[in-house]
Amino acid sequence: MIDRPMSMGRLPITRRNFVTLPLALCASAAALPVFSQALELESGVLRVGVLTHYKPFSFVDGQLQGFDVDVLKRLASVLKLELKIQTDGMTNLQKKLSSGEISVIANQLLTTPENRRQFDFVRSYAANQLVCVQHEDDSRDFLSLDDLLGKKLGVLANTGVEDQARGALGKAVLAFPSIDLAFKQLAEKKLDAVLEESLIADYYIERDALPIKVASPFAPPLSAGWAVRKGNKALAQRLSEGVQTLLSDGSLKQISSKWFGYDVSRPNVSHTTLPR
Amino acid sequence: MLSWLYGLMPIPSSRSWVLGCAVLTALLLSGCETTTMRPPQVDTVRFTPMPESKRVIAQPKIKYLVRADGYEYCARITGIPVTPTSRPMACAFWNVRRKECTVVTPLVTGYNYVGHELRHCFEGSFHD
Repeated sequence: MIDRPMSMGRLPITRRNFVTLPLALCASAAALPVFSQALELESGVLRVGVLTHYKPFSFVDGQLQGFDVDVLKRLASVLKLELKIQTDGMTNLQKKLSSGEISVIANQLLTTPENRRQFDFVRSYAANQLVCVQHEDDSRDFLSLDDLLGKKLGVLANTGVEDQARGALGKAVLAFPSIDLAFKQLAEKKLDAVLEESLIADYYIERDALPIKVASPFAPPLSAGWAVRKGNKALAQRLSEGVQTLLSDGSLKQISSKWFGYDVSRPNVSHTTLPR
Repeated sequence: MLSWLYGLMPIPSSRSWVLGCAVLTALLLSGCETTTMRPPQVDTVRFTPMPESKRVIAQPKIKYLVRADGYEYCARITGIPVTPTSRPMACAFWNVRRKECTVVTPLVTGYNYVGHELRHCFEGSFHD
């Protein structure tokens, strides 16, 4: 208990104070935006940004919709928050997050080391990984790019996947401006396989009833989650708790089935690891 | 301790200690190998299989792939690296919509690895 205000004049300047006082002042200054964001949440309003063109996670087709948008709406309902959603490109969303205009980017951002330096992350709710997609009549096993030598492979243009596939397979790789075009060619058996994220593939398979299937994984599950401003751990924690509620009350499973045809909250790969 | 060896093999006394030490070392090393190759804890205990109604896939169609690049493939799809001290011995992936599951192992494997992955085919990520 402090029964009287302590003035700086009475605080003896020791060697320790000389170092700790400026540090404490810096820390409190750094905490101010965090405090204000926490207050914003306490006021019952969650200001959120989502990408405008990011099917099936958030996109405008007449109105804003998507898997992440449905999760966001359910989460707001559980946490009893009013949502104010803005749509934009990633660069602008990051600027808005930094300035405090929005509190969350509610798309599954990759938790890369670079992003971790910039954001804190909310618990992930969807397992997603790069997979090989094949025609449903095709029982061949393509587990690596080596297996695809001499085969026609479809990929999304201007991506790291295209670069890697071209490096291994050269001209047999066909790059598409939109991945649904590749899936259509695969459905017509004009391609042997397409490499794409599992959730995006499952969305088009579910939506268009395409005769194609998600076959083998090509990379580990992506680590991703909603992003809040770095240091705003209180908000990340509260939203993570909300996500946990959605996982346990079955509502995430319901939303997930609507968009992908099954519960995507759990990974679809496993392993046994042993010491040599 | 090694007297049974002496009984079985007439060995000149000057060389008996050298041979004895070599045999002892070999025994110890094989013991170490047995210790390090013990399966994970999850494979040494009995378990009650999930009822069908709670499985990720109640009755999956299972494919078993034995691959020369089994270690590398399992490392690549799970993110568990192959290191000088450990490596993924088997892995599985499943497609809930199609009720299909694939188990992958390297060319040499064990019952416990295949059994472990088979359980994943029914129960999904049961130990994460």
